[in-house]
Amino acid sequence: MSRGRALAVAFLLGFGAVAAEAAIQVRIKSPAPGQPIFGPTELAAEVVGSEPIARVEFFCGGRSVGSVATPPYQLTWNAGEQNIPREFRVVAYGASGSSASDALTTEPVQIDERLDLELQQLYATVLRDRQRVLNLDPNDFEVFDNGQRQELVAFDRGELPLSAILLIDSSESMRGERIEAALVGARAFVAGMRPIDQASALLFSDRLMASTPLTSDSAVLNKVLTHIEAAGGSAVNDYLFAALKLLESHQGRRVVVLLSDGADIHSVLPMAEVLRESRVSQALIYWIALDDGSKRKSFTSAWRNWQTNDREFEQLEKAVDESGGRIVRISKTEDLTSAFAGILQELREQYALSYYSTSNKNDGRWHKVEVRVKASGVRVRTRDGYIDY
Amino acid sequence: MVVQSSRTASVLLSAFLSFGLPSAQAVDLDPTQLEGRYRAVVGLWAAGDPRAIDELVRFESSTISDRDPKTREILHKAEQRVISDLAAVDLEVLVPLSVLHQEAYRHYALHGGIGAAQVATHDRTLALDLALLYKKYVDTPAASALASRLIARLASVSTDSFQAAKLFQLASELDPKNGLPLLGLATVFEKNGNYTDAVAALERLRKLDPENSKKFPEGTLRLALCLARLDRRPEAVELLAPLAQAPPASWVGLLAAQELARIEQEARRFERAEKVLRAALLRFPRSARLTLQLVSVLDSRGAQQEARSVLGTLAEIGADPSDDSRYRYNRLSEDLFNDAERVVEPAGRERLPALASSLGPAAAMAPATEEGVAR
Repeated sequence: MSRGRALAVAFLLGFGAVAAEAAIQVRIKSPAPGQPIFGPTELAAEVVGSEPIARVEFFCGGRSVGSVATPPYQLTWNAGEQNIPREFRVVAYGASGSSASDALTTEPVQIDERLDLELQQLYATVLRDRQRVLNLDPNDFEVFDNGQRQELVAFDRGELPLSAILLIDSSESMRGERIEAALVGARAFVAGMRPIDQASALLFSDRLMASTPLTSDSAVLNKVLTHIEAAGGSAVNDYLFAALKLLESHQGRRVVVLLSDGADIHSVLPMAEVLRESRVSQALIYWIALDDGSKRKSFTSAWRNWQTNDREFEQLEKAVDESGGRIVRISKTEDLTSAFAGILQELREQYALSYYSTSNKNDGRWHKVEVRVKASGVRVRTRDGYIDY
Repeated sequence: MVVQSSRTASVLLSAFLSFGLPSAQAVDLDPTQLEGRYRAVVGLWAAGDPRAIDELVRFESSTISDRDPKTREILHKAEQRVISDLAAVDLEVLVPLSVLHQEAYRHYALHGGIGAAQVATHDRTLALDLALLYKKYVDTPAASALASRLIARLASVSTDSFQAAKLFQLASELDPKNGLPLLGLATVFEKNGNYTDAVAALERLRKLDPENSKKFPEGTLRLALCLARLDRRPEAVELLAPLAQAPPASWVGLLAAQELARIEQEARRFERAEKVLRAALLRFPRSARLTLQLVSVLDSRGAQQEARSVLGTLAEIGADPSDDSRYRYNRLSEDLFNDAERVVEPAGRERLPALASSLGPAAAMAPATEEGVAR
């Protein structure tokens, strides 16, 4: 994706974006937007600011590839031979702790319309007695792709950058205390983000009510997350699809945090389509289900009868489960903030496992993935698989 | 038309008394005082004062208790005695009285009737009974048509789908030439997943008058979608295709395009779906939903690069808080209430002098006070 495309997507999500006062400004000088990247590649950034610069860190695909403490802020990095789009991000840190970032995505050489995504990234949460296990190393993990043992090429703990879309149901049933609590919770998520993380807020009902671009700027996010007049019905499918689709073009750890108090009513897209997109995009889906999701029962509308609504609901649960995320069921609005904060904490404590699949055929088929941990009494939660495009 | 007939009035009275409610006992409500308060509310209404609605709500909700059904029974009898007296003077007063009780019911429907189930039911029942009595005893085609509109208006604000279906059916029977109650009936069936009966009602609507297809494009849309859900997709496609292209570019046309594309996509006819969506985007260029659908269709046919390109065009569209088309479809047509209101409102207003006259000079001038209607 070129920088132009990145800006276009930013516009899509960016209504009323606020430019925060920045003590530091940073711009990626190299690589150029749209430039195919192979082998040794120069990464360079231009930094200006009203305070001393402590360091400038470069990321590709959400992984740090190096940092420079003094000007010129540039380094050479071996990108390898994969023909894929690459998402670059640079973060400049000031001596006072302030920071600024810039990002761009380079295009692959276009051979056909297929995106080559051979590097598989899995995000695993390991639990023992409901407590997350945080002291594992690469040798503790075994990854199987369609039954074949895979060799890990990278292993990280949860401090990888994340791109999150906060998808907040702003329909009529959320009016009043609920939507206010939802916005407080979402702001708590934003407050917990680090400079290298980015998020977008999408507030939806049966229509898109307000949104922001994917940004690290909390001022931009908080402006939209301050107030919304809840109205209308609920189109979870349509906007979950949009969120997954928007994240698809980003590399690294991608997360959708959906907050909704009920099942979809008004979408044009069936959940089966969202499930398909979820399998392709490989984003984690967390669903904060207000009211324990109990509104699904025997629910009927002019769009779907109750049997179809129940089926849609079950497929939403399946999409969440398959993605490696989870459903956070809450019954009280006062638990919303801790639900958002808990998800962010969980993301921080995940293991990131990367491998090149030995069984990829780009045939559009489902690959079942399994992660085993060589430790007793533990349970692993990660995505169930992916579609091999 | 003003009818004055002691014979009619006595028939009316006996009809009221035949409702069969058991007599009230052991409830400390003074029937005479209740009648006086009700007459005062009616007086305010007869004077054209809309505060009569709030006064009626206040009066009835302070009298009827959900915990004690006998309170409803006592109030019902008190009100029916007043109504019988008034109708004995002029049967036309039944129309503005039906409207008054509809408005009280509408108040509960709009503001929530928690703790007010009995009083809401009381007003709905009374509004319906008054409309039926008017039709029965005036007994002219015009009275039937007016009663039909009164009942259709009541149905369109009903919060109970079973009652709404009954009321729409009744409204349709009273005035078969009016197609709108059938649209309402079909919508209630559709919302309850009863697509077979919804199709039957909508087909009756189309057969009633060849012009109804043009007059009620929403009916055609609903018919197409119900047919699709009954696995009669070719018929659905045949109805949706012209609707998606018909001028003017309305919410019905927008939904017709979305649903036609959805049917084509589900049948894996991706090129047809794409064609429908691209044509619709020319008519509705700011539709985020059509754009999302196109992204999905392109994805489904393996054109991921193009899908990403279309996703980028959403930049120019942005948030679409004004597109309430899918929400609108899930509700009863606004035309239902508006059409009935066009007839009912002037009919009720024109008969207020008759109501005032039937009350006598003193009661008709009852002023409102801080605490409520003077009594």
